[in-house]
Amino acid sequence: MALSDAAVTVPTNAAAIAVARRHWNSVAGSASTDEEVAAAADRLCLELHKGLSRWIGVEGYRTLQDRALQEIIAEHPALGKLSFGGNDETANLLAVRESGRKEVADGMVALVALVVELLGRIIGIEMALRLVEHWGDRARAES
Amino acid sequence: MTKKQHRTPGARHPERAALELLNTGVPGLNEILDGGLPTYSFNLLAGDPGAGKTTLAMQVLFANATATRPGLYITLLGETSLKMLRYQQQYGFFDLPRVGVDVHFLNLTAEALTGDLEEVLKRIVAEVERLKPGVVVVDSFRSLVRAQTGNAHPELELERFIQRLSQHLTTWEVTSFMIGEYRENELQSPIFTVADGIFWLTQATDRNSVVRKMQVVKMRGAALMPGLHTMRISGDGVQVFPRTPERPGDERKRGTKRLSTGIAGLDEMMHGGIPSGDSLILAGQTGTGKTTFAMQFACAGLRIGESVVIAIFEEHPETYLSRAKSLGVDLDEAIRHGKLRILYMRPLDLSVDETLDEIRKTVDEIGAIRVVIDSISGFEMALAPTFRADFRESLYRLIGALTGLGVTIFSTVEVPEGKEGLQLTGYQVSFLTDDILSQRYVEIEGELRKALVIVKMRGSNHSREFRMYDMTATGVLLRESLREYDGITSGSPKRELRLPRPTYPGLVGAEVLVLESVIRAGGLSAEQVAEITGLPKSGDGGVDAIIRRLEQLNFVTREGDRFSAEVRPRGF
Repeated sequence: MALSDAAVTVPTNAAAIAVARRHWNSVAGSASTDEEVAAAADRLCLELHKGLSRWIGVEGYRTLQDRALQEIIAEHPALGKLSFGGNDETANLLAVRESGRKEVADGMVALVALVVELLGRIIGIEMALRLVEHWGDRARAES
Repeated sequence: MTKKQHRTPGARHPERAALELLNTGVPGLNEILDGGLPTYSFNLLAGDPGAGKTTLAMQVLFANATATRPGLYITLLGETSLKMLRYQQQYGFFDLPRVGVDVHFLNLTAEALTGDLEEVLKRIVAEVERLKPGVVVVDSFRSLVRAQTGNAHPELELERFIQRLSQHLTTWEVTSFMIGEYRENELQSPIFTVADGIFWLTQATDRNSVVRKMQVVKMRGAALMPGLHTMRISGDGVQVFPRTPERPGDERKRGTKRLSTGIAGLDEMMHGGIPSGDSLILAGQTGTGKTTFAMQFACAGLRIGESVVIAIFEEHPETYLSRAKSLGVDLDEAIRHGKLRILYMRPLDLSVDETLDEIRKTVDEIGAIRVVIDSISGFEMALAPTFRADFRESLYRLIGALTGLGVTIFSTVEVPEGKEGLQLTGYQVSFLTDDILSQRYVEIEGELRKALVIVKMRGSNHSREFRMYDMTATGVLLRESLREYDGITSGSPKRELRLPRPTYPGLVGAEVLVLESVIRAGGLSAEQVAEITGLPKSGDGGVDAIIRRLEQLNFVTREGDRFSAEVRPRGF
């Protein structure tokens, strides 16, 4: 079985993209202002961190996110301006204002989708989708 | 999924709690634990890296997790959870749709790396309170010691952590497994005192074979099956082969029926065939036709609709089957109809328990009456070196357990060449078997011929003659007796002139047999005669009719219900 290509600059898995879009829509809702989009990006970052760290550990999630960012930044430069600690609304608001609401939203969806894809390469895409879907449902139930 | 049993306290203390037992989901393990894993037990799963601890724990978790009492797998330090998820989902028990529903994973590596055991404990307890799991696995805890760099007594801290964790988990009615890399000489650690159960897994490499074993060192409230039990990990997960499997009512079942060997003349030599439930060994040098004898025994059973299991260790099944075709029996058809199973076992790291388990399962599945083991020598070579070291004990356990099933066993064994005298099994296991047939080469008038003799038949009369035989295209053909020869066991017998055997005027076949039995025993009842000779007691040709005739001809006299012989021929 051939090894998969190391570089993935954009997510390609339709299921991963769909689940990422679902998560974005659930945190962003009908966000229409810069503040709302920034807050949504913030919340998604926090949920992604909290949810996946639970399954694969803080370090496990962090390395995955770092790799995904590295791969995808060229396609979505808006992501380079975001803070992923989930607690810096100011930085994220600035990023939205500089890059645009659509660019930030698209970037977040692509990032989450790529995280799922990269996770899927290690534990299988079915398992990765399951973990991400379950994380999202639980996070919403708790909030 | 979960199927609970109960261990009841008995009639004397009905008010006491019945101990519920969980089905471990690991084949063979429930037997070792006297029915299953006690609920709420706090168990240590210890052993070398790669011994199968994670897989075993995961298998138990999946077997018992439910929606109301889910399973929780907590990773501390050791194998990363990403890798664990990657590898464990390769096993058959790993049911992906259940992940996140009734099977949950929690990674606390970050907390564990800080060395703050208090924080680790807090997180675990919080999760247990939230999820209310029925089974929890913590993997692994031993390395927490190394993470406590600022602590002067890290082992003591770990002991406290384990104590408190055990307390919490028991309070929340959780059955748990703590996984730790401990060596056997560390069993003295106080941590092991806390545990209700201790499972010790080992993995040993000897030449080219790897043997995994498990010992349940301790389990409170259970009558454990002692000893080291072989383990194997396959695509389905862990399977354990209990060392001394016993089933209720497993006693030696010897019937009164006789089974045909399938070889004309040999049944008569055995006075009716092989007693049902016996274990017979056919010992012979290479090329004496042991496999053909065994095959004919199997075929004799198949012809009358009996089911047969054949365990082979040397020949490939296809070769075996094509050889059988020449004996006029289509074994393929018997296999298709479920009357025959051929077990081909040659992994070269086999254990006795695995072999036994395979044969027993197959005997149960098809209701086998006959079992052929071809050959014991091949079985020895297929065993892992660790079991080969004491082959007598291995064979003792195998044959002992199989005879307990009530099947009739026909085993072949190769004896060394080039030795004079009557070589029996070569393994000093004659005491294990009920019946022994010995084959050998003899030189007769310048030709190398084959001869056989019945060495022993427990509890039964038999011919003591050496008979020559040939291997023909359609099987074994018994030839003449070697009665006129002496020194047969030397391999070069010499023909001697001797007085003819006494004859009994007017008597034929079965009548001679009955008379000689009475003479040899010095007096027998009709029932005893029937048992020894294998003849029916009543009816035409039965013992009652024969004894009446012998009485009429004054060969025997009656004394109550016993008969003694009137005539004692010369030389008898």
